Amino acid sequence: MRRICSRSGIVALAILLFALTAGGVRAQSPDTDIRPEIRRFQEFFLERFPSVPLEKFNKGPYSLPQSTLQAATLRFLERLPPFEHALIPARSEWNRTYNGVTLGACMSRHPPASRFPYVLNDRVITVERAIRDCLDLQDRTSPAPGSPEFNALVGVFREQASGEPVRIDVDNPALQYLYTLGRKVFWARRGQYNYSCASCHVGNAGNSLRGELISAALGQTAEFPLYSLKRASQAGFGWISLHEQYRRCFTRSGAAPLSTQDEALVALEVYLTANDTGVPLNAPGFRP
Amino acid sequence: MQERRDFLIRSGCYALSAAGMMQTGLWSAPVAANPDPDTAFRSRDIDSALIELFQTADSGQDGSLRIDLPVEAVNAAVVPFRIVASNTERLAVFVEENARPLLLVTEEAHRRHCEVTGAFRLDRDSLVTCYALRQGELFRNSRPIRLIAPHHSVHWREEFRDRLPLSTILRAEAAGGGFDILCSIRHNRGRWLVGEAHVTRVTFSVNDQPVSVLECGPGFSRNPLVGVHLEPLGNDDVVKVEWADSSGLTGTAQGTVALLKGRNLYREA
Repeated sequence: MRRICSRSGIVALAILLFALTAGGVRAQSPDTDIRPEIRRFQEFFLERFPSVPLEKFNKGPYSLPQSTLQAATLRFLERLPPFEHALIPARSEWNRTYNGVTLGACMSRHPPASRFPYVLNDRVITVERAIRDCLDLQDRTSPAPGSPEFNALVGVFREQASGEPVRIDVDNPALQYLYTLGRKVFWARRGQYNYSCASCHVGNAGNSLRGELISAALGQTAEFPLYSLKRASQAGFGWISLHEQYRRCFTRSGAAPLSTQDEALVALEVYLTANDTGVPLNAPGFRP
Repeated sequence: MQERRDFLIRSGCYALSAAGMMQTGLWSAPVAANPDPDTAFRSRDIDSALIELFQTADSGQDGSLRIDLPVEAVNAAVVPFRIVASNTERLAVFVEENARPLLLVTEEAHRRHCEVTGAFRLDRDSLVTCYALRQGELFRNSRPIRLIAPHHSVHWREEFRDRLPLSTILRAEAAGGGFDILCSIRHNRGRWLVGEAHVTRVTFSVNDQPVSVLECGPGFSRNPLVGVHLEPLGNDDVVKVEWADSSGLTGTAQGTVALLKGRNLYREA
């Protein structure tokens, strides 16, 4: 039974991937306004956690009242978070000139981080893609996407807009199209345990799993890249990008993980970022 | 002859009274602090560590010794704490259930008000106890802490090792009429939080005068955040921090309070 579920999940995902890659980001209108759906999504969490206003949903599980007993650790370490050791050299790198251009100057052509992802010339631009394009312009092959140094650069860009409310262009037909696809990725059950993203982050938000509090789906995108001290002790470096976190969730639910910047993950990012409209950016985020 | 006899009787009475008062706890003999806590840090037993440090293990409860801790520790490798004490000559902090319980010793004889922050590693649910030496007497206070996530001891592959340099970050935050001086130390690049080396000494100085020296034991977190509260402190005062770890590495960072208020001062070791 489990194998059938797993197989059907993989097949569903493959069909979804095919639809995405074959069609690209088509500027087709789904003929619906996604604003009411965003509002309903936010209202669900605001009713479930009435003591938490929308602006406070930007600290993952630490936004929720269930984290009260553990929040002291975060409050203490946030005063001088350990990712500063990585962020300060990355800020210098941000202003260093390569091939006649600095990363800062190149990225200033893009909107602020709170407006990402956005569409440019029929291509969806995520922060990671924008930085990778700028590194190409600088004629550099390193830091490689996904490396700690690359995530630190993403952190530098995102922190410049820290405090600004997330606001992507929900009227853009391409983003609306990705929103509908991202909704399918979010709600579709998959993998060995037959879990969807929603199984944990909607139905079980605020509950504990393996000693960790499960965050609400609302506000998740506002704090990436994340720096996790636990991850630092396990893997050697603490940065976790948004897509890497999606991959970890896929793996934990027993599903085959997709590669970062895969179109299905970009769609998921668009869906969740649109639902985070109005939540202030809190990047880089931090977990003790 | 009579004078000698009176003297002997009188001194005998004094000695007897003193012995009686000491026995009943009405008066305790002043205890002298041991300046070298190395043996105490190696000790696995709290009483013997106390005797090394204070030459006594007898102490009285004092609720005015403040210990700030989270109720639940989410990361066993980094559990933050803050100790607040007044009119104290020497402070010692113990994590009672750790294999080597002595965490921190600091000399505070020259300061009226003492606030120290740091982070420790926790082996299991424990009591954190702070001992303070005041006018020759030893006082203590305790708080419990519960561990909800155990240590993760993972051997890293070489490509996963951190490539960042050793560094020190210094920052000043205005708090309660003075400044909290915070220092983040990055000294352990190998097995980041579970490695062998630990910070052994952190010295905070103001205008080249040491104001707080923290002696840290093996239970101190790797790459820790350490802090002290200093007052009075002006914008032009130069704050300096120096650290050393058990593998022989050292680092330092310094800046004026005005500079440290505005941003995090970063120095590579």
